[in-house]
Amino acid sequence: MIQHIIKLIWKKKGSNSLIMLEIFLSFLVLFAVLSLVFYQTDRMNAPLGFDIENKWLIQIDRKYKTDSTNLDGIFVDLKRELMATKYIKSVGICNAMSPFSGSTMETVDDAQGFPITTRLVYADEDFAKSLNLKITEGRWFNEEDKSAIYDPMVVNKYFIETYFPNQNMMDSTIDLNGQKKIIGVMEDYRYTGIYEQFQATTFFFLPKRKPQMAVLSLDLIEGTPLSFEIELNELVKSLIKSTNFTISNVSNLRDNTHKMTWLPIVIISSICFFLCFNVALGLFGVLWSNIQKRKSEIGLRRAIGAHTTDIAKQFIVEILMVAAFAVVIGLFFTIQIPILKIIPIDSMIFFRAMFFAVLIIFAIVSLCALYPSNQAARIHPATALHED
Amino acid sequence: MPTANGLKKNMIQINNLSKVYRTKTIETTALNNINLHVEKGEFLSIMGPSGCGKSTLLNIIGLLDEPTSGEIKIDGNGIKTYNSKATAKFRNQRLGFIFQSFHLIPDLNILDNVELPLIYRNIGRKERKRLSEAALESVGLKNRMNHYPAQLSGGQKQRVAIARAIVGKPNIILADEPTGNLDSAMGNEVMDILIDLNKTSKTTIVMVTHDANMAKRTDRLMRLYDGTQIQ
Amino acid sequence: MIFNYLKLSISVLKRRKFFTFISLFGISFTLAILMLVISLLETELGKNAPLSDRENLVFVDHLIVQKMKPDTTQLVDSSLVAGIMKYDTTYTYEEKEVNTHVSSSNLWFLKEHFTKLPSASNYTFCTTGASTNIFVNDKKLNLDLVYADHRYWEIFDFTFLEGRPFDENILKSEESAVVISQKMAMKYFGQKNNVVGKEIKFPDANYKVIGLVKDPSQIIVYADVYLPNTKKIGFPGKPNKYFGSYWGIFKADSKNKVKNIKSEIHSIANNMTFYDPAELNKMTIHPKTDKELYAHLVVSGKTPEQSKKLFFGILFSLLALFALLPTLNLVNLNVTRIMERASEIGVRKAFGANRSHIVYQFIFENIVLTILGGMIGFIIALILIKLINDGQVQDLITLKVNFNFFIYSILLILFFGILSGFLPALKMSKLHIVNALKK
Repeated sequence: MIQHIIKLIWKKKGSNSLIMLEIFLSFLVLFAVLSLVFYQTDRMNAPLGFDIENKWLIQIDRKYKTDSTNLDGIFVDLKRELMATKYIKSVGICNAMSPFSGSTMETVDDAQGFPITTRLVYADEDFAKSLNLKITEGRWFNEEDKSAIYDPMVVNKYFIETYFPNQNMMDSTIDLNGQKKIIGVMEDYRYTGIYEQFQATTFFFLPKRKPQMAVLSLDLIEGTPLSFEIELNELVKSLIKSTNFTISNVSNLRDNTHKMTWLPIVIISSICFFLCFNVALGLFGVLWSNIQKRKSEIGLRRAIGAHTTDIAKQFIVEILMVAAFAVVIGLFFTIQIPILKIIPIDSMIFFRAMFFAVLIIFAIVSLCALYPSNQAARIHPATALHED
Repeated sequence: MPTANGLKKNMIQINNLSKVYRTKTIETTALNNINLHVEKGEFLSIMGPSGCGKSTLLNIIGLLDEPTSGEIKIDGNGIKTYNSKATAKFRNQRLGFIFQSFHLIPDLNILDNVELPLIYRNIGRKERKRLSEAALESVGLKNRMNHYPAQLSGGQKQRVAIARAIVGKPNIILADEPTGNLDSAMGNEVMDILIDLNKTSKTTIVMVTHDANMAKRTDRLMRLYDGTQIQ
Repeated sequence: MIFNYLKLSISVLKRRKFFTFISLFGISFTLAILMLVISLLETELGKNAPLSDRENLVFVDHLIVQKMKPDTTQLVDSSLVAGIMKYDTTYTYEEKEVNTHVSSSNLWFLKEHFTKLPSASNYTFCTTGASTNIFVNDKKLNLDLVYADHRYWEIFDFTFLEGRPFDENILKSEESAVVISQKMAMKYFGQKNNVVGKEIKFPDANYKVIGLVKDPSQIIVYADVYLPNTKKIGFPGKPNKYFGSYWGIFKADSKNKVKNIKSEIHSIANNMTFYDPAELNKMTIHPKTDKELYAHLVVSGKTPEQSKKLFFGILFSLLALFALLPTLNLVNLNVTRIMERASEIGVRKAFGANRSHIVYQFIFENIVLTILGGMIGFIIALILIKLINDGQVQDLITLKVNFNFFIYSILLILFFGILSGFLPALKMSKLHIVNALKK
């Protein structure tokens, strides 16, 4: 049976190669889109590591202030003044790497004997409290760290698991942009959003790096009226004597970030859906037309005693084999991406994308083949032979 | 056209023509050393059993197929190239075809079907319409010119096909079993039109048929058997 | 002949409704999406006000200032010459970067060095990307601001619906006057016109609206409020500093002078006298044309010219890839269905059609189909554009539908039609008459 079908496919290699090319391209498109979707949505359920409700940020644009040393003094004054208002529970300071800011700062250091790649965030002693960062081991920065011999640092779990697996690194000193002592481990700080890749993140103590100050993080009591923002606005304006700052709600920032991440995914997925639907319709048309053309062959097969299901099966198997061939070629190319590590992300994403792309392709092809094949099977031998 | 010395002019001249079909394993001789001369204004029918090569011969005369060897001259022109623009033009201006299964274009109405040869002659729309209407008139179907082929009977379809074949006033009409798909009444009707055409406008007609009754009505009969001329 | 082909095409489409539907579906959606991209490109990159002179503009969006230190590498080459070992030592003198700063410029710095470019007929220094919060009825508005000088209005031909731009006198007198966009008028006053003379309460002062402009669609010039740069804190910039928040924008008389402006800017950077050579001693500027500026936002090549090539290269290959599938689909469908028309092709050839007649006919039929699909696609595109502009999808951009968009769309339709029709038409024309007429 299979040999017989291969012979038939080979005879029509011209038109079959076009169909194959189409299925091959569809496979590539599906693979790319599914990889993107999996990559973006994979870690949606992992915790961000910080709280979002009732958290506000005051971002001060340093570029617009001509005298930067003065500004750092202002940050400290500002923090004190803010603590005095009635709705604010705590105030932290960090550099531009605030929640949903979109900026990143990364360092690669191989002083330890192997390269350590980690994101850097500078934060002060109250930052963890203001955003409710979850410390799993050790402690967050405190006043004493200002006079410590080694610069302190707090890293996330991922950092320990990746670079020092199964070791107790608490109070160890490692070489990362100079000698630093690990004083605590936090769960995570995935500040660019829930779609973010898991990666090493390290907090350095901000008071050691004053010119980095950029953002104040506020923890407000529940039920703070929205009008408080106006009050806050006046207060900040009067202190920094500039209007180049923005006050924002962390949950709004999150919503905007999510929207900006979702929008391209939705657009790309709908285009992909349209392409697949289009290919399905086209395939349906091609199969339909082919079967009309081969009515006499069908009639003959029926006449020599083939069963209706045999005929339907023959058509389905034929197109599925063409599809299988296209998919194998597709797999040959796509499998290079995880094998050769062309794109440095988790290879499981690509394997899953391949699996589902194959599944979708075969689903589409089978669906498109089913109806015309059934029609073919129903052709009466007499009419089929007569029409030729 | 009679020449000065009274001899009739040769319209089709075929010398030592053979056609061999080759596949990887076998060679089939479709036509074997055919010699044929058809005079202007003659109505020739070619008869023979199925597969004797009569359609192949007609296709070769119609420049639709090329011979393996031999020489063919139509209206004094030796044919050397096939499937070229010149051949297409030659067919367009000097030949008219009638087929067993009519081959009308289902998406065009009757008038448009008849106009077809004139379109490739770049004749203006009004002139095309005038000539096509005249051709349809002569086969008695002018009243049907806005219908589509699917709305006509077999005999009517073949009459439309005849109108299409004569609209360009060709020197030769090649008919491949024109009555093959028709019952005898309709067949005779079509045959009447062809004979009338031959008599009145002196058009040379070559017709392939396996119907002896139809063949009898023509000027001359040629018999083919297994690719060989036997009469 | 064309009229006959047209009649035939329509009759073919009508007779095979299912296949017509399949084909039209693919064509219309593909073309709709491509038209959307055209509209986006035309909106951002077309010669529309206020960027009618965009081809003559050169932008200095940022400076790269570095500290370099000399670095010598010694390379010893040994070779055996006539049995004796020879040593060949080469020294490579290179510069190694110690520190790199990238930022937009200080206003003072721009004024000091870039006001006398010989090839520039005009210039403006303005900020981009500044924003501030103001409050209307306890509701916060986040505003995009542009601080500019009076020449800004000469470089960019904004459409003033009411009032006028700020001039040199207003700048000098540090009057609190602003020009606002229609969107801003709607947001702040709740009305689209009659806003000149009204006041907007900013954190530092109340500003009087002196002009109302039509919303610009291009991100380079988009803002809610345009303020005189003399009102910006820190004006006119600290002396002897490189960095600030300003861009320099230069205008040439003609397109071919753009190159000259670029090389003049390069030479200023190369011949820079540094304020503190021990701290920073090398300056690089990549002056950009508007297209290079956009390209640089998305991809970063080594030079702006490279970014532009890369950006448009990637863009067009993605679009081509996107269009490839539906094209292939159509080709497939057409090729498969040739046999339905075999008899017709045979007859046409028998009655004198040559190969090019057949090719033209089928390409023509395909173009008719594509034009139909294109018209539906055009309607879909218009609906999508309206949805986007009404902000139902995202309040990002206002897409334009103009004459150019229309022309580009028609070219696109024809291109698509010829492309998808050619292969099937060619295959049909090759059909041998004898085989076509068998049956």
